[in-house]
Amino acid sequence: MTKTDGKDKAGGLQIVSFTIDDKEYAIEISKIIEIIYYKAATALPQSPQFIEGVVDLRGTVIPVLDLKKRLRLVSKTAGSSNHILIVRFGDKMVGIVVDDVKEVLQIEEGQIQSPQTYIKGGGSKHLRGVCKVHDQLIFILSLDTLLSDDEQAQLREI
Amino acid sequence: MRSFRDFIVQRLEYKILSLILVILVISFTITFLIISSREKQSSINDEREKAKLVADTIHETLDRDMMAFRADVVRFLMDDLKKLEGIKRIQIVRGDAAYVGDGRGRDEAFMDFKTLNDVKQRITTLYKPEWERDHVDRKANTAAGTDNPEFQQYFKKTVQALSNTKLGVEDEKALKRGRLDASYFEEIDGEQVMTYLRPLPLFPKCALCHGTGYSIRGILMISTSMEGVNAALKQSQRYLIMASLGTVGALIILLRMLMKRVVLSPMNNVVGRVKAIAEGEGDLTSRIVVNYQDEIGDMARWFNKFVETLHHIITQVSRAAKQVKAVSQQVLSGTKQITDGADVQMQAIETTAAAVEAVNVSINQVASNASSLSALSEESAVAILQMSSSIDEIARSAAVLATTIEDSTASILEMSSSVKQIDENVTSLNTAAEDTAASMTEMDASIKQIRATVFDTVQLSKGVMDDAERGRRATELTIQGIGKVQDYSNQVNAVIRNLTSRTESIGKILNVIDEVAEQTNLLALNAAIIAAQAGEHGKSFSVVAQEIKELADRTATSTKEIHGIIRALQDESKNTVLAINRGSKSVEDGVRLAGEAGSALNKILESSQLSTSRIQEIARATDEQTKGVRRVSESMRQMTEMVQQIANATHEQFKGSELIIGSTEKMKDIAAKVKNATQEQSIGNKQINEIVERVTAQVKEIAQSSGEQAEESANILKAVSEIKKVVVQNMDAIGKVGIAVEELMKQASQLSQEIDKFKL
Repeated sequence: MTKTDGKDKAGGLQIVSFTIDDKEYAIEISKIIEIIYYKAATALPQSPQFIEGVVDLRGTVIPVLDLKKRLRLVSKTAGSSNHILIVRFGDKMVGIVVDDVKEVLQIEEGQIQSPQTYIKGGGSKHLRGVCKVHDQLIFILSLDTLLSDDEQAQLREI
Repeated sequence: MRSFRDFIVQRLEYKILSLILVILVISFTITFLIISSREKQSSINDEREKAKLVADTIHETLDRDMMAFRADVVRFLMDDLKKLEGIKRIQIVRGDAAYVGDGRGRDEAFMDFKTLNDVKQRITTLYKPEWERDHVDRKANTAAGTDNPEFQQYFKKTVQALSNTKLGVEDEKALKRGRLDASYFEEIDGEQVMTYLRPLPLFPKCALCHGTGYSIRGILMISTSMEGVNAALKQSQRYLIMASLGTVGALIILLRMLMKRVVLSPMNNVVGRVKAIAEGEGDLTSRIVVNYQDEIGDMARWFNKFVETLHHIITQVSRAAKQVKAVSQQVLSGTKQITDGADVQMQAIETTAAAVEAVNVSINQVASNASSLSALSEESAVAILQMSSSIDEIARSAAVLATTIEDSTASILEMSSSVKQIDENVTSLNTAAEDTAASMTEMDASIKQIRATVFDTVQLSKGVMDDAERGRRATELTIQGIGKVQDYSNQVNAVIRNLTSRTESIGKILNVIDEVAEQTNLLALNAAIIAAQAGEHGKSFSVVAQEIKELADRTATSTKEIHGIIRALQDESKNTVLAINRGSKSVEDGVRLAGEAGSALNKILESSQLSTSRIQEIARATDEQTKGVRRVSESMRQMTEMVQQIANATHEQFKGSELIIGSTEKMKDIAAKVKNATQEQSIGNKQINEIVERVTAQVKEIAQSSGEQAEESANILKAVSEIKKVVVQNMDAIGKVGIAVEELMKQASQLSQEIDKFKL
C-alpha cells in the first residue's frame, strides 16, 4: 500500500470529524487506522496522567489517550464515549477516546483557517487549523503537537 | 387619934384641907430632894474646877521654871500654896522608877536631896546655889495619903498608860488640860476632902536633867477641904425646908378662908333651911332662898322642887285617904247588900238548876230534830246536784247548738259565696261557651280546608309514588347500562395491553435494525478510511463506502422515526389504559351510586305509599272530625242554653241564700241568747247548790252543836250545883269582908288624921 499524506491532487484534504462534549473536532484521515466501538481501558500502574489505560485490538496492546483530560476540556453536557479512534502516532498505534464519529469530509486547503483567528494563547498549538462546514466550526487536531516530547517519550515506553 | 379622925371625917372642910396638905407635903419633899442633890453636885464640880485651876498653875510653873533650871521656884510655890485656906494637902508624889520600890509611888518631891543629887551628877556645869536654899531633908520621906487604895489604883493605871508611849506636843497640851486627871473623896483629920490628881509625865525636854528610863516624873496631888461646901449645903437645905413649911401653912390658911366663903357658908345656909323645914313640923309651904349658880344652888333648887312634889303627893294622898274612908263606908253597906243578894242568888240558882234541867231535855229534842233535818237537807242537796248537772248538760247542749248554728252560718256564708262564685263562673262559662261555639265554627271551616288540602296531598303523594316508581326503573336500566360499559371497557383494556406488548416487540426489532445500521455506518467509515488510505485505487471503493454509509444513515433515521412513532403509540396506549381505569372507577362509582339511588327511590316509594295511606286515614279522620265538630257545635249550643238557665237559677239561688243568711243570723242571736240564759241558769244553779251545801253544812253544824249543847247543858247543871256551893262559900267570905271593911275604915280615918298634920 502506498503511503499518502491524505492529500489528493486537487490539494483537498480528507478529515474524519467527531464530537467530544458536543464540540466538533477532526483528524486527517491519513492518520487514522481504524475506528472501533468503545471498550473500557485497562488501567496501567504508574502510567502518566493523560493515558487512560490500554486496550486489546486483535492481540495488539494499544495505549488509549483521554483527550478530555489532555485538552482540559470542561463541558457542562458530558457526552457518552462511544468510539475509539486508532491513529498512527509515529511508529506506534494509539487510541483516542471520542464521543461519536460523525463522517468523512472532503475539504479544500483554502477552507482551513489558522487557529489564532479564534483562539489566543497556548491552546492553539494542539490545532492544525479550523474550518467551517455546514456553518459548524470544526477544530482539526494536530497529532504531532498534541503531546509534548516527554509525553511522546513516555508513550513510546509503553 | 380616933377622935381626930372622926373629927376630920365629920367636917367636909377638914377633909378637903387634909387632902391638900398631904399633896403639898409630898410635892415639896420631892422638890427639896431634887434641888439639894443638884446643888451638892454643882458644889462638888466647883471644888473640882478650883483644884484643877491650882493644878494648872502648878503645872505651868513647873513647865516653865524647870526649863529655866529653877526647881527651887516650884518648891517655894508649893510651900506657899500649902498655906492657902481650904487646901488641906498639896504635894507631888515621885514617879521615878528609881524611887518606886514596890511599884507604888510614896516619896514626896522636894523633901530630900535624891533628885537634886541626881541632877547635879548629870549636869555639873549648870549647878546653881539657889537649888539648895532652904531645902528640906526629910530622913523618912513618905508622902501623905499614898496608902489610899484609890490613889494606888490611879498611880498604877497612869504609869501603865504613859509607859511605852512617845509623847508629842499635842499630848502635852492634852495632859495639861487634864486628860488623865482624876478625883476622889477621903478624910484627913476627920475632915472630908476632895483629892485631885494630875500626872506629870517625863517629856523629852526633861531628860536633860532627869535622864530617861521611866515614864512619869510624878503625880500632883491637891486635897481641898469639903467643910465649907458641906456647911453651905446644910444651910441651903435648912432654908429650903423652912420656906416650904411656911408656904404650906400660908396656903392652908388661905384655902380655909376661901372655902368658908365660897363653899361652906352657902352649904350651911342650905343646910339651915332644910333643917328649918325638917324641924318645922311638916311645913311643906316654906322654900329655900337660892342665891347661887353653882352645884349648891342646883342642890337647893332641886330640894325646893322635891318639896314641891312632896307637897303635891301628900295633898293627893290626903284626898285619897278621905275618899278611901267614904268608899269603905260604901263598901260596908255594899257588903251588907251583897250578903242579902247572895241569899237571893242562892234561891235563884236553885231555880236556874231546875230550869237548866228542863232546857237540857228540850235541847236533846232539838238535837234529834236537827239530825233528821240534816238527813233531809243532804237528800235535797243530792237532788239539786242532779238538777244542776242536768242544767249543765242543757247548757253544754245549748253551747253545742250555738257552735253548730255558727258553723252552719259559716257554711251558709261559704255556700253563699260559693253561689256567688258559681254565678260568676256561670257567667264566664257562658261567655266561654259562646267563644267555644265561635271557635268550633272556625274549626269546622279549618277542617274543611284541611280536608281539601289532604285531598291535594293524596294526589301529590300518588304522583310522587309514580315518579319514584319510574325513577326506580330508570335506575335499574342505568345500572344495567353501566355494567355493559364496564364490560366494554375491560375489553378495550385487554386490547390495549395486547397492542402495547406488540409495540414493545416492534421496538426490540427496531433496536436490532438500529444496531445493524450503526455497525454498517462504522463499517462504511472504516471502509472510507481504508479507501482514502488506498488513494486513487480506493476511490471507487470510497464512493461505495459513502453510499453504504448514507444507506445506514437513512436506515438509522427511519428507525429513529419508527421509534418515535412507537413511543407515541405507547404513550397513547398508556393514557388510554389510565383513562379506561379512570372510566372503570367511574363506572364502579356509577354502579354504586345507581344502587344507592335505587334503594333511596325504593325508600321514597315505601314512604310515599305509607304517607298516602296515612293521608287517606287523615282524610277519613277529618271527615269524622267534621261530623264530630258539628255534633260538638250542637252540644255547645245546647250547653249555652243550659248555662243560661243555670245562670238564671243561680241568680235566684243567690237571692234565696241572702234570705237564708238573714234568717241564720237571727237564729244565731237566738241561740246565743239561749246559751247565755242557760249559762246564767247554770251559774244560778251552782249558787243554789252551794247554798244548799252551805245549808246542809249548817244543819250539820246545828245538829252537832245541839249535841254539844246537850252536853253543855249537862255541864251547866253540874256548874250550877258548883255555883251553889260557891255562893254558900261567898256568903261566908262576905261576912269576913264586912269585918275587914270595918277595919279598913278605922285605918282610913287614922290616915286622915295623920295627913291633916301636914300644913297643906
